[in-house]
Amino acid sequence: MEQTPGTSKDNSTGSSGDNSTGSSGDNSPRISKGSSIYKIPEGKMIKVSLTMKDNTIEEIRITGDFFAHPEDSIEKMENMLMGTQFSNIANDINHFIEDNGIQLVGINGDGIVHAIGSAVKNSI
Amino acid sequence: MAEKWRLLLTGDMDAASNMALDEAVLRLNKGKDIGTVRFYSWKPKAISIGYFQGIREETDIEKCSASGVDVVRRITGGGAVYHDDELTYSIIVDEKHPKISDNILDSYDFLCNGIVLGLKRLGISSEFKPINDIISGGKKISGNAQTRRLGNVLQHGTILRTVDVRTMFDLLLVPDEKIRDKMISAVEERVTSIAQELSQEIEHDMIQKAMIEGFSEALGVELVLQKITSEEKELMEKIRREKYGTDTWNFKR
Repeated sequence: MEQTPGTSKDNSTGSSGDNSTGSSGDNSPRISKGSSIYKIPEGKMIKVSLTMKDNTIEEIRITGDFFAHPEDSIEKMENMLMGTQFSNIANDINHFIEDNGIQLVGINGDGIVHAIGSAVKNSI
Repeated sequence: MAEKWRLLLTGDMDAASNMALDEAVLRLNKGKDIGTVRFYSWKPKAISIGYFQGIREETDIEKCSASGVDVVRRITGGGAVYHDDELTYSIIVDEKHPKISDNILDSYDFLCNGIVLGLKRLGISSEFKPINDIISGGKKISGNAQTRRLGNVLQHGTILRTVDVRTMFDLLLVPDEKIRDKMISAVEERVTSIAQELSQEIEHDMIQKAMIEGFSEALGVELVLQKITSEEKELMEKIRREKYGTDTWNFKR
């Protein structure tokens, strides 16, 4: 909803302009924003906020009280996800974790996928 | 003869300095095969947030600033902590030290045992509860967080002398404001302190002494009191200036 961090430039672009113009403009991309909070059973909390452009992840932020080693792997994962199709994320994320030898503590790849899925589902 | 590790007692410092000193010791620990155990506390009171947390998702920044409470992002993951009446410790040791398991959960268990044995000396029975808590009578009395960088392990954590959940939640945000009161009551049910467990307050120094003995026993080392080196002090000041004292770091999420 309104978890806009201080540096946001989103308001200027996303709010009204882009997708309201064409009455039948099927080709204009639909921009939507969503967020979610997901508590892993017996584990930690994952919070996701994202911007979708049709089915592509435009921007994503994964926060929470979990542990990931090395720590910068979450930022790298966010960067990897930007520009990817939502339908592929389960594969993308689990491969990314494996390929980079990321150790997650309190969360897991499926949990991240679930949290992103909820954020996409409730995006408007 | 027991292995000798360094003991640092740095007392009260502000949040950025505390986090900068942990990192300075970590960075300068390259290649050493002895570890460092440090005890400290926070003045002014502070909130530390986990590496991955959104500062505005977790804390009421304006209220913290109005109440003179520092807010700092940690180098370690985990949750937001209100540092008030507590003893904080950190352990820095080479990741390849024979006492340190490759397995992160096992190493939490091993290192947290210092607190369990320290509490035992105070007459409090407690146990490690994965992932990163120590509980007494089913309630959390200590939270811990670990990172592994530059070939070293840094684990730090808190041991609550007393706890004031209401004040804590005055500064922390809750996911749903509608159930704030209910949530605070639930947390009060789940958190305890040394004072609560003993039904009396004991001196900070007594807790520190018990914890020094507890860690010494758990780690199987002799802890030798030393001062921070001038190199560590210089690096701490630099890291404080360039990282923990900056909005770029603290507000990066």
